[in-house]
Amino acid sequence: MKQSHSLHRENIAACILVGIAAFLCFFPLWVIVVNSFNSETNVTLNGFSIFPKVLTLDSFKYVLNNKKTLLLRAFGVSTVTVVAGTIFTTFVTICYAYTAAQDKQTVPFANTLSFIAWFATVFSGGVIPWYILTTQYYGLKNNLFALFVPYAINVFNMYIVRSSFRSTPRALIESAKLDGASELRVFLSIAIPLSKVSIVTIIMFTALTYWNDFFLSLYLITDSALFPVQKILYSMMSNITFLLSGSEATSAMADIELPANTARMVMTVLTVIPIAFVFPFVQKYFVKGITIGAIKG
Amino acid sequence: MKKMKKRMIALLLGTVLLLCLFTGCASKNQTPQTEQSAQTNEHAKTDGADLAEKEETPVALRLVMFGDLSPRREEYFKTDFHDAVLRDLNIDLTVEFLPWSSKDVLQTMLITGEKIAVNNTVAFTDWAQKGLCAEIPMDLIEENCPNLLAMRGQYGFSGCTFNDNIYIIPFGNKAYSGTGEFYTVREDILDEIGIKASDITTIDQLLECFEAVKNAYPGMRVYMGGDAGGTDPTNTLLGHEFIGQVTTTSRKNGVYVNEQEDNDIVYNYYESELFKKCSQFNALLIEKGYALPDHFTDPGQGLADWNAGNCFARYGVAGQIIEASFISAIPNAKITRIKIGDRPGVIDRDYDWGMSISAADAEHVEDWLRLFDWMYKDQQTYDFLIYGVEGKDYERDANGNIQKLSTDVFWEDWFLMAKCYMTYDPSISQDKIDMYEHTDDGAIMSKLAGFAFDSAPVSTEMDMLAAAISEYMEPIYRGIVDYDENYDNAIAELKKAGLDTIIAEYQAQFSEFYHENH
Repeated sequence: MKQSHSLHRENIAACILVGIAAFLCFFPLWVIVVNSFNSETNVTLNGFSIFPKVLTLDSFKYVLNNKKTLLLRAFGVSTVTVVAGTIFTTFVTICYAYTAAQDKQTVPFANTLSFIAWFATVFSGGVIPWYILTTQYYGLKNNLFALFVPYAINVFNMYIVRSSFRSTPRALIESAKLDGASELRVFLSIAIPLSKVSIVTIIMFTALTYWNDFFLSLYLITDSALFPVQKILYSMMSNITFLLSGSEATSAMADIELPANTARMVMTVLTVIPIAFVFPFVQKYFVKGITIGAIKG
Repeated sequence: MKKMKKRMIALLLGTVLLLCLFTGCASKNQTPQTEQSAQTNEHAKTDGADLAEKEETPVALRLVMFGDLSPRREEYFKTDFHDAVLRDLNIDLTVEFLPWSSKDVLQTMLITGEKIAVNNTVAFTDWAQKGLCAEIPMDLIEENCPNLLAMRGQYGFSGCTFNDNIYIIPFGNKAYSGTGEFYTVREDILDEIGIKASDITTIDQLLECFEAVKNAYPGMRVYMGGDAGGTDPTNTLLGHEFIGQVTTTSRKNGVYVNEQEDNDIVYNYYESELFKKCSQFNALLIEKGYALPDHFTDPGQGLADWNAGNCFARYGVAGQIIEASFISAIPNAKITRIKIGDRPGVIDRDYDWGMSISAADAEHVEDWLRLFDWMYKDQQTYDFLIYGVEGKDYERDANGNIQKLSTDVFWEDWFLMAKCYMTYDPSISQDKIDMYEHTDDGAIMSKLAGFAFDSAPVSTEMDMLAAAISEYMEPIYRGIVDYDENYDNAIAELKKAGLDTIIAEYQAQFSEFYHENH
């Protein structure tokens, strides 16, 4: 009885804490979405509202009329980047993880591969060497490859998949080899199907990374034809921040026109909505994939 | 057979991987525009053009600017502007835009040796002292930029040099005094409350005006506040009233100079009577409800209020008086200036913006200079740069006034603005035009004009001072917190951050500059 009371109290406390956390996550999103339907005059005079009195599509019309072409093209670039980048990164990650998951007898340098991956996350040459290597040696400047090749492997994802590959029963693999299966056959027919959960997880992580990324486009893309959606949003936001900072720009004779408050909300909504729709369908794979190595057997 | 199959598959996969990596490589010298322009060049018809010139490969140049793009602006730079430059100068110019806050990205591009030109500001010395900008010899400027020099008129290059070398080509010729030297106010509101701007010449009269506006418009923000960068009539204009000196202040360096003294003395701003009086005045504005505390925490709100017509006064900048966009956005709005006292205008720079060429592209300095000169070639070219294509983006009516057919911006007018080519919007009255064009009348040249403080020897202290000013002194200056209660602690923090060291370094450099130039 005492135990069930205690459990009950713990459950209530957990629910309250999680509820608060969920509210803190949900509230900013709510404010952004509802104020994208608010009128600019209302926001200027009264600030952002939780429940706007007047709902209007004027801001959406303003953004879509002014930036429709840029936005449509940006969505196309983002979509291509997400699809191509996810396939490329998943391919590289899986191959690397499978090799790193092998035992010493099979692949003598497997642990070295794991070490190198970890080392790269701890020590980095910095932005300038990276920029020189990427643009001047790999030629990744102002082309679509620049939007995903630099992110070829994510070490965190690689460790997730490696754990999953390591948990594949050795007996199964040995038995397959005894039956004449080649290494490639084992990889394609046994290792990958058994690690499906973690692979789908990293596919989602990777897709989300590519969708949200603006760093690569900020440094490597100056041709407007290749701007992804996040770059356009980042440009709009950072333009506002800088122009309001009172730096040298304000010495200009005329005020540089700032996008309306609601236009910024609209841009945010347009960039968040696509990924927000996809997420619920793959949510379960996140949890399963991350905890894949937690339970033995 | 199986072994052969394995080898073939391994080879295929390896090839695919290599292809993925290396097909990303684009040739450095070939861009889609270069290929297109190479074809364009072949078919271009130029009346009386030299055949040899026609076949000559265009010079490929890259210009990187800050700003935002609209579809029409993008199209303009990729087609109309690009083709005009190619036709007239045989330059295949690519124009790229970065967000305004991308100075780090641009610096990375310069450090890694990209061959570009960038639009730069008066604060260019940072890049010049790092060796990122190409030196531009004066004889090349004189040879290649006759139109630009003519446009610049009496303004030279003294503000563009660092260690006696020119690193930036200044653009524009406009009113260079006036920043923070008056209040820009709503004349229509003054008319309603029965006050004339010219009648307000003292601080007491200014406060009475603010009170009258506050009573007549209880929901309106009376005074917007200064901007974060230091453009503030309290410090500049009213400073003359407070301490009887014509001062030019550099708040981030913690110094000011007295323009009426014929010496090289630099004063400690944050330990001065000027700072005290300004802080107390700003606190008074908040106490009386003329300014709101949010202009410190949310400077955008004040500007938004002004743009929405819900603010009476703001810090003055010369060009606001001829700003047509504000007037067209707010019905019946009229703008004028309120100037307190008889402080003369001070010109601390003779340009706002210019172009710098990356050190890596020094070989093309002459081509860049030809381009910059071409931009000020004649009225037709100027109109093309500012307003776009005639008949498509704008039209001129019978009186020669510009009628814009779209709201797109091409070359920013505040960047290129030159008095000799300017066409004022028909909504701007002649008295306002005269007010603008005579802004610099009686203005004195600042002792600091052309001086660029090299902060490298005190870079650590500068970073610490910036943080300390932001945390401790700005709230005092803005009137958010009480001067008497917080000043001692704040000044102690600034001294701990290295204020005295910075001032000493500033004094040493300025003394050297002053004695060389006076």
